[in-house]
Amino acid sequence: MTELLTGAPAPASAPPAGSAEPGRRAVRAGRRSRPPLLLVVPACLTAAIALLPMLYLAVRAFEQGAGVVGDVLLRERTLRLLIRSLLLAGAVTTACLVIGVALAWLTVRSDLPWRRGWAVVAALPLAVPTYVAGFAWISLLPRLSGFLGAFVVLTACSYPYVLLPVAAALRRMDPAGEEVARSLGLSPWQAFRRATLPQLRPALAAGGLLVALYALSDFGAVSIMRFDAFTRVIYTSYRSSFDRTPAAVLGLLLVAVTLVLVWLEARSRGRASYSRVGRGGARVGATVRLGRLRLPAVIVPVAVATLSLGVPAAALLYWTSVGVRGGFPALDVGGAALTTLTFAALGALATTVLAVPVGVLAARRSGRLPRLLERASWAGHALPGIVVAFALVFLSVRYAFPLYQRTPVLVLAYAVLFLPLAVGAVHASAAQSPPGLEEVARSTGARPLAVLRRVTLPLAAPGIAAGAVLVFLTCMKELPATLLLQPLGSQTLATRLWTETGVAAYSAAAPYAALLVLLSAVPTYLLGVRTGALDRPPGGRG
Amino acid sequence: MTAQSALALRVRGVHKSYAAPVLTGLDLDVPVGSLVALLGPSGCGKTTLLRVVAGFERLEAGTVEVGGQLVAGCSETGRDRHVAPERRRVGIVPQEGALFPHLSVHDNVAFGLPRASRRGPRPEEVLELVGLTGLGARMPHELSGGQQQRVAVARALAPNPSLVLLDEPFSALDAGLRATVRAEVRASLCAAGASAVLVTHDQQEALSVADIVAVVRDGRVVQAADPWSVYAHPADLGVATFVGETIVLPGRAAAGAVSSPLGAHTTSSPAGGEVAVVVRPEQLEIGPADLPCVDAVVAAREFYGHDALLRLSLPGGTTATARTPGHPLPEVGARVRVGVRGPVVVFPA
Amino acid sequence: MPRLLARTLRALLVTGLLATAACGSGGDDPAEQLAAAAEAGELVVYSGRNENLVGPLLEMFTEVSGIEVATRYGGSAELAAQLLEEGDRTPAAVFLSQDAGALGALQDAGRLEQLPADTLATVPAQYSSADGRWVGVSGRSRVLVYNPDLVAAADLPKSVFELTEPQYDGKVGYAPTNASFQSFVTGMRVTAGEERTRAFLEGFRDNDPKAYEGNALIVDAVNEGAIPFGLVNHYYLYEKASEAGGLDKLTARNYLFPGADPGSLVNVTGVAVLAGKQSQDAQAFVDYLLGEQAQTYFAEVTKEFPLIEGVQPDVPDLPPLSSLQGPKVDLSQLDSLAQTLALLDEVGLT
Repeated sequence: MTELLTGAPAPASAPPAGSAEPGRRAVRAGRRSRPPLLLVVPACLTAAIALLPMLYLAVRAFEQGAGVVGDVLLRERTLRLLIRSLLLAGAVTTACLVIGVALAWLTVRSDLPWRRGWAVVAALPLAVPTYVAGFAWISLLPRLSGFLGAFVVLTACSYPYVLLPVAAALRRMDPAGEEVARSLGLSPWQAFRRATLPQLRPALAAGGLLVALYALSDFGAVSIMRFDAFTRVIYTSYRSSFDRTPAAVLGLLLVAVTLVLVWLEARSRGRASYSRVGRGGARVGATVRLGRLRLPAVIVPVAVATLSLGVPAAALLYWTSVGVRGGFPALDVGGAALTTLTFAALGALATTVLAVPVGVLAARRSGRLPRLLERASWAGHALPGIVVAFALVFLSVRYAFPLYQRTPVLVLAYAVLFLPLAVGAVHASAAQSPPGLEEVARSTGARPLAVLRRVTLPLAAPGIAAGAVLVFLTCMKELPATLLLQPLGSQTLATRLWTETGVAAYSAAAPYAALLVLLSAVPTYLLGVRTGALDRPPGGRG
Repeated sequence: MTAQSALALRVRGVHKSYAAPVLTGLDLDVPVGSLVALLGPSGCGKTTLLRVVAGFERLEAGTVEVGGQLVAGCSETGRDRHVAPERRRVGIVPQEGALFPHLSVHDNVAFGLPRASRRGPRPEEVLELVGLTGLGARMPHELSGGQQQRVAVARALAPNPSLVLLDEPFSALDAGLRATVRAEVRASLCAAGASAVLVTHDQQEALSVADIVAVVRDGRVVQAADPWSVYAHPADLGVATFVGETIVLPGRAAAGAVSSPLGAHTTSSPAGGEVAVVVRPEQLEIGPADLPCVDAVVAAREFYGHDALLRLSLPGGTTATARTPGHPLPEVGARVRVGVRGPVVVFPA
Repeated sequence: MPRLLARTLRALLVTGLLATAACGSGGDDPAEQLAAAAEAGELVVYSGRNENLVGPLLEMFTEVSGIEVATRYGGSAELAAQLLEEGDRTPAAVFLSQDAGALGALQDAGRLEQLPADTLATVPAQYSSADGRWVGVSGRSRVLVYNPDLVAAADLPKSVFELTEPQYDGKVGYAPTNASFQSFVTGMRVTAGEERTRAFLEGFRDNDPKAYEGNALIVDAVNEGAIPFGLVNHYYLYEKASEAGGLDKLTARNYLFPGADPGSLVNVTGVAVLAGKQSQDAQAFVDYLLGEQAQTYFAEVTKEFPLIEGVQPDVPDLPPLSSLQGPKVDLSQLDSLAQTLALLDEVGLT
């Protein structure tokens, strides 16, 4: 009973007198015990950082008066843009959910041949930046522009955001529910649909949200595929009019859309908590035999890998071979790689550190403040990099000039952009460790900070580390904010790539792109391996 | 030395409610060095009390003193006081042990010790106390359930707490193991000289290990006494039926003499007139030579090896359960004579 | 497993520090460059032109002048927006922009310094700011590239507006997303007016033009005879010619619409000094770009037109600057790309 009740109780629904013994749930209700300042203060700081772009956007949007804001918002073009962007995000999210669930199930629960290998391969597209995939597709199929092109590229690059949490959830899930369903006479498919899928809801919602926001905020795919979505219009608005008001208004609208999506995601989770508080690890569900479909089923991962990895790889190989024929120009691949690693590592570090208080607070307290702080951390995530970059240019030039165009401001931009990736990881992994452990720790005399350091964080460590790796990976691929904020004279692989493609030197660009993809593949591989193997409960057979 | 200072825990008039009241003026004393069992059905508020004492919940009224120190409630100066859990010197042993899965047994036990003494002899000392010498290097998942529970006790004992709170610590163990672990934990607590509160809904557990059994109902302690007294002299019919198995029969009492469908009995209870007569199944004897008996028919029987339960149909349509030795056992349908040994307890009907 | 987080974070920190150290030992710690630039009196340049193009030129400048340069590369428009956000605290002293529009926007915001008259006098007036706040460095012209095997020179259109006529149905290649096509449309809007431009674009659209991903692909297609005409910048043909070993190896030819036709608009790469950043070094940089070495370099590498008299770049077949046509337009006004994009979007040419 207690397990089912670990979710945050709705304030309105009084627990019946019979179940008044609150057990663990009271810890999260926290109506009487205030959230510790130790977490609240840094969490507020994090939320404030995430909201920095809003400050800038508000200044820019309203500098010509509210009338202009209204004009931009009420333009027919704005509405069309909103619909187009949401359609794209919706289509990409749907496709990613289908692909993600199918691949997760095949690699976790079925007897697909080489499924361990596929589990890792299936995560690798995260290493491919959309601008590389976009170039690859457009050079292969020049006609594939517009909605379809953007859809294909975004889906191919972002489905791992669904795959990874769903695969992890499938491994964690107690197979008892599915077994009971089968014993009640449901077919395997029905059992999956009615017993398993509902349990995957939080993972699906979380992954779907990331994909939707990725599709909304990505610039590479929509610009190369010439599909007028929010980000492309915001870019061209900066690029074309030098009038920053419309861009700022659209940016605010994008933030509003983001917060609505975040709110919807929270709602779709429902009130129930899905975390297991039981002792020990769950059993892993029995492997489902695919039977005669076992070999044909390989088509699914092969097809997905061909579209998401094969196409970019083929294009990179082609460009590189052209370059080899024409003789390689002098390249500073090593320096750019080092700079990329520096920025990405510092970005991941800062983002993770900032995310910890918000994530832990959200996992442990159910009040309005923790919820608000967590949602605030999403504010920057759907904004195009260039908006966040301009916001930090604006703010740091005015209030932190000595840091302007120095590494710290760039790292801060990464944090603003990618906080939710880390906050989500911290929240999810902290929520999985039973709060009882923290109480025991305190009863033995450990102070709250010590409990955080000695119990909460070590237990959540694998999940937090995975979040840090995800941020690292995303920072490596980041282009627009890096271009504007990186210290003078430095070059990352992404900016080098941009330079080379800027003069259509694709063969010179290819080594940078290849190295970027290969370097990103290392953390992606770790992520894939983690969900593929390490995340298995001890003793469970995969 | 006042009586108060000899208490490890003193709880007075504690009120606590969530949406509905849970604790309604609860009083409890735990003398130093004793093990008090908080016995009550699920939802009676006993876990809440534990959390209030440990400092995880704030009380709404009343006081909690641990080792003579006010840790929660109104102090004499009228200030609202709530000492943080880590400063109360109250160790807890949760339901499923809740060992830190990322720490070895040794590190679990040493968790609450100051940094300097974590490497000292204390962890091994406490492990010895709970009978787990030499298992310090193991990880929690390499232990059996009973061993895990004992490590949890060791962890709670290590910093020498004023009080140890055990929240249904044996409920997750299987029946065979439970009694053994119970005894071992009891012995460890005794050896450490610890004062402890054990929350349980299992009356056998409460009666067998506790120095004092405090029966909790509807958010307050309705009776606190040594196990025998609670069993033999329950405070009311509710306590009687909750603690131990009972046969409740209608009867009449006057001046220490009681009559019921089982015949005539003696009682020390003061109630008179129409009463509820409480008889324990082991008081019923089949065919005793030295007791007044009534006729009964064996309606059903359950054989347990060391003893057996007989469901008896009494004259007048009532039934009663008798606990009898396993041998010889009358057949179902057999007519037997049944008598009641010892005094009975009566409550006003 | 429990130490995984600590290990990951430590790995991230070590990676960061090591890589920083590695960069530092290489002599140019990026984190310190800005401060170093300010302290060491380096000239900070924001360049909207590609590093591959400008980098060698800047090195030559440093060699000649002894002035160290620190450069931030980006899109011209993004850099202009960044300069607007930075305001008077910008670290940049000089802005080198790919096109005149971005310079016009900065000029309108009062962010550019007045240039000396003799600097402005080195290039023809129409290739500099009317207000004297930026100066053109190199020029490029819109042209109609055509295949003489498919079209007789005598039959070439006299104006870009003729491309809406039926005989050009399905015969013209263009690159709708290319910035130079968009600035051509902007130029048409500024010189011919909104209505006429809209009418042209609608007619052009209805004439089934062939969209290409880039100008170079159009020149290829015209050269191979896949289509007879293409709307491109002049230098793509010369780049292709230098690859092929001479213009005579190619079939395709450039054609300039005669007179003040928007189809022959000339746009420039320009340079400006930011407000309050006037210095001898900045002026030296501007003057260097207008000197023979830089002008020759630009022309030879990019096949663009040098804007000063007397420069003889080694680009065979490049016509002289004086042969250029195009409308007389204040290039600073080409900063209204937003309206152009909205118009293209409405017409459906995206």
